[in-house]
Amino acid sequence: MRFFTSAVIKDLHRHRRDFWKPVLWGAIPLVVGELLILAMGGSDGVKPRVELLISDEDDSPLSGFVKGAFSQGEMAELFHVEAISQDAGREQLDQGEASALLIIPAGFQQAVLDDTPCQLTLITNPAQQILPGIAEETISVMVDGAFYGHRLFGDELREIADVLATEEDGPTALQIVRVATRIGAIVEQVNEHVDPLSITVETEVDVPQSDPQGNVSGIEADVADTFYVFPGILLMALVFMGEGLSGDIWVERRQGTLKRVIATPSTLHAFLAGKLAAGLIVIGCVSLVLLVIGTIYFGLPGKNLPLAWAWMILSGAVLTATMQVVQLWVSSQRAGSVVTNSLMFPLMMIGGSFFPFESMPTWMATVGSWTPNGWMLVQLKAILLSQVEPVGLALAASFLLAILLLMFWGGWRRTWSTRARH
Amino acid sequence: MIEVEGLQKQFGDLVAVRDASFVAHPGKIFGLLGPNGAGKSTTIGCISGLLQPTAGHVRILGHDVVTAGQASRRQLGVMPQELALYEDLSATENLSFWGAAYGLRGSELKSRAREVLEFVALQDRAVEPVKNFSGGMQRRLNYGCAIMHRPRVLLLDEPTAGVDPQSRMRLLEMVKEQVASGACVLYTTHYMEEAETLCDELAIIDQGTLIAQGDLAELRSMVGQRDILRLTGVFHAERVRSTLANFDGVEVLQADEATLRLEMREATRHLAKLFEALQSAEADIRETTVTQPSLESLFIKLTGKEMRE
Ligand SMILES: Nc1ncnc2c1ncn2[C@@H]1O[C@H](COP(=O)(O)OP(=O)(O)OP(=O)(O)O)[C@@H](O)[C@H]1O
Ligand SMILES: [Mg+2]
Repeated sequence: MRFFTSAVIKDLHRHRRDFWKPVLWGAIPLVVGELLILAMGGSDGVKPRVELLISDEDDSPLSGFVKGAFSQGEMAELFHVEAISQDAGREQLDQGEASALLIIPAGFQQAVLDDTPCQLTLITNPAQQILPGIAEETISVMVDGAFYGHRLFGDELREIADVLATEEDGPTALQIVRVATRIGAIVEQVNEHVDPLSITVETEVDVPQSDPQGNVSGIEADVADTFYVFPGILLMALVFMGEGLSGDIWVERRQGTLKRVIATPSTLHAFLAGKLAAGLIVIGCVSLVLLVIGTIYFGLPGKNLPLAWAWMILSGAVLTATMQVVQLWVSSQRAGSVVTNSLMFPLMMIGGSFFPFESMPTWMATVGSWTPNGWMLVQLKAILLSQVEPVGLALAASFLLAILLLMFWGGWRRTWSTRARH
Repeated sequence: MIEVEGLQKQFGDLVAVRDASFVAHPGKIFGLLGPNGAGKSTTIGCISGLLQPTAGHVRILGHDVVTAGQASRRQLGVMPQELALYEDLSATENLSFWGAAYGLRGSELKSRAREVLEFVALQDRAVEPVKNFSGGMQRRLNYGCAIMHRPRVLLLDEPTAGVDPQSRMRLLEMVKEQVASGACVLYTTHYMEEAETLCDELAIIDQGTLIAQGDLAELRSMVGQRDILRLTGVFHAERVRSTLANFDGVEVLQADEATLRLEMREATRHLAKLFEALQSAEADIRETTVTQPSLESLFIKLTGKEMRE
C-alpha cells in the first residue's frame, strides 16, 4: 500500500514535468469541437490557426505531397502553410511570426521509399504552446500513416525506388500506371479503416441534411445546439488520454524501470495500480477543466456535474486499462501506437465523437451507441440531462468497474509473463 | 551470501546458463567473468528474481529466490547492466522512488537519499532531470539506486561498461567501500584487468558454462608459469607441427593455415630460435603476440579463443 503511494507520486511527478501532454489531450478535442460547431453553423467562436512554415529541402513529389496535405480540405482550416527557406523560416520563428517550422530534409523521399530512417524536424515557437502542439500531433499522425503505408504498399514503393534507381529517363508511363493502379486498389479497400488522417475528413458534417428520425434520444428543447457536440468532445478527450496514458507502459519497459521494479521486494500489482491511479488523477483534472469550459462556453447543462465528472473518470480508467492491455499484446511501442490509433479513430467516428448520434442515420447511431466509447457517451449525456435512474446508473457503473478490474488483471498478467522482455 | 546450486536457464532450445554452482561470501567480491553472450546477465536475472530458473536453486542469505522471493529480494541491491532510471525525474526523485520500493519511508528515506546523492557525487545536480546527465553520471546514479536500502548482497552487472575513466574509478571506489562494510558483491565484467584487480574470487563463464573458478592464485596456477604465443601468417600446419615436436617445453594449442598458438615458459627468450625453426618449415610470420600468465591466457587455454574477439 505504501509503495502504491510512492508509485502514484512518482508518476504524478512525471506527468507534471510533461504537462503539455494532458493539456493537448484536452485541447485538441476542444479545437475539433470548435470546428464542428462552426461546420454546423453554430457558435461564433474564433478559429485557431496554426501558422506553419515549411522548408522543403528535398523538393520531391513526396515532400510536395506532405506540403499539400496541410492545405487541403479541413486541414486548410487549421493550418496556414508558407513555403520558405530554412534560414528565413528560423528568423520568422524567432520574431514570433509563426507557430512552427517544419524542415523536410534532402533525401526524404528516397528514405521513405527505401524504408531507411529519416527525420522531419519540427521547430516550434516557444512563446506559443497549444498551436505548435497541434502541428506536432498532426505530423506525428502523418508519420504513423507513412509507417503504416509502408507496411501496406511496401512492394509498390520498392518497385518505384528500383525504377528510379535503374532507369535513366525515369519510369515509363506504363510502370507508373501499373504501380498506381495497384496502390489505388489497395487504397480503395482499406481507406476508411487505415488512413489516420481521415480524422480531418470527417469534419465535413452536414447536420441539416440528416434524417430527422435519426435522433436516438429526445433532447430537451431548451438545451443549446452545441450540446449535441460537446459530450462527444468529452469522450474524445477520454479516448486520447486513454491512448496517451496506456503507452507509458512502453516507456517503463524501454527505460528498464519495469524490470528493476520486479527485482525489488515491492509487488508489480501495486506498481501498476499506482500508475493507473496517477493516470486517473490526470484524467480527473482534464475532465474537470473540460466540464467547466463546457458549462461556460458550450451550453452544457449545469445539472449533475459531479456525477458526470465521476462517470468520466471511471470511463477514462476503463479506456486506459483496456488500451494498456492492447499495448501489452503487441511487440513494440510503435506497433502499440499504430494499433491503438487505428482502433480509436474509427471508434470515435462511429461512437459519436466526430458527429453526434443525433445527426447519424438510425442504424449507425444504434451500432455506434454499442461501441465502448459510444455507450459511455450515451450514459454521459443521460447523466447531464438528468435522464438516468439511480438503479440503472449504479448497474452501468458496476459494469464499468467490473471491466476495469478485468482489464487491470489482464494487464498485470501480461506484464508479469513478459517481464524479462526488452 | 549467495549460494547458487546447479543453476540452469533455458530460453526455448538455447541453454543460456548450464549447471552453474558457486558461493559468494560476505565482505568479498565475487567476479563473474565472461565474453558477450556468456550468460552473465542471465545468471544475475535468475538471482534477482527477474527470471525463473529452469532448474537448480539460488539462496540469498538462506532465502530461496523462488520459494521465498520477497524475503530474498529484500536483501538484494541490483544494478542492472542497462540504465534503469526515470529519465524525466531528478536524481533525488529517482533515489526516493527506488528507496521506497525497498521499503524506506519518511525522514529515513529523505536523509538516506541525501547521503547516497553525496556518495555518488551528484549533490550539485540533485534537482535536474536525469536525461540531462552524462553517461557516467547516470551510471553512478544507477548504482546509487541499488544501494539506497543498504543491501547486504549486491549484484552489479557490468557496472563500468562504457564509463569514462574518472567515473570508473569512482564507481570502483564505491564498490570497495560497500564491501568493506561487509556486503557480499557479485560483479560481472568482461574486463580481465578489472576482474584481476578487484575480485577476491572469480568464476569464468563461457557459453553458459562455468569453466573455472577459485581465487586469483588458484586460477593463475591453472595456467602454470607458461606464456601463450600467438603467431599469424601463412603456415604448413603439418610441417610446423613436426618441426615443433623437437622443441622441448613447447605445447601446440592450435596450428592451422593462418594461426599458431603455442604455450611455453618465458616465450620471449626463445623467440629467435623458434623463428629460425619455423622459417625452415617455410612459415611466413606476419604478427606475433606474447601473453603472459593471466586470466586472459587461462581463458585462451580453456576455450581456444580470446575473450574480446
Ligand atoms: N529473454 C531472453 N530470451 C531469449 N534469449 C535470451 C534472453 N536473454 C538472454 N538470452 C540469450 O542468452 C544468452 C546469454 O545472454 P546474457 O545476456 O546472459 O549474456 P551476457 O553474458 O550478459 O552478455 P553481455 O556481456 O553481452 O551482456 C545469449 O545468447 C542471449 O541471446
Ligand atoms: Mg549482460
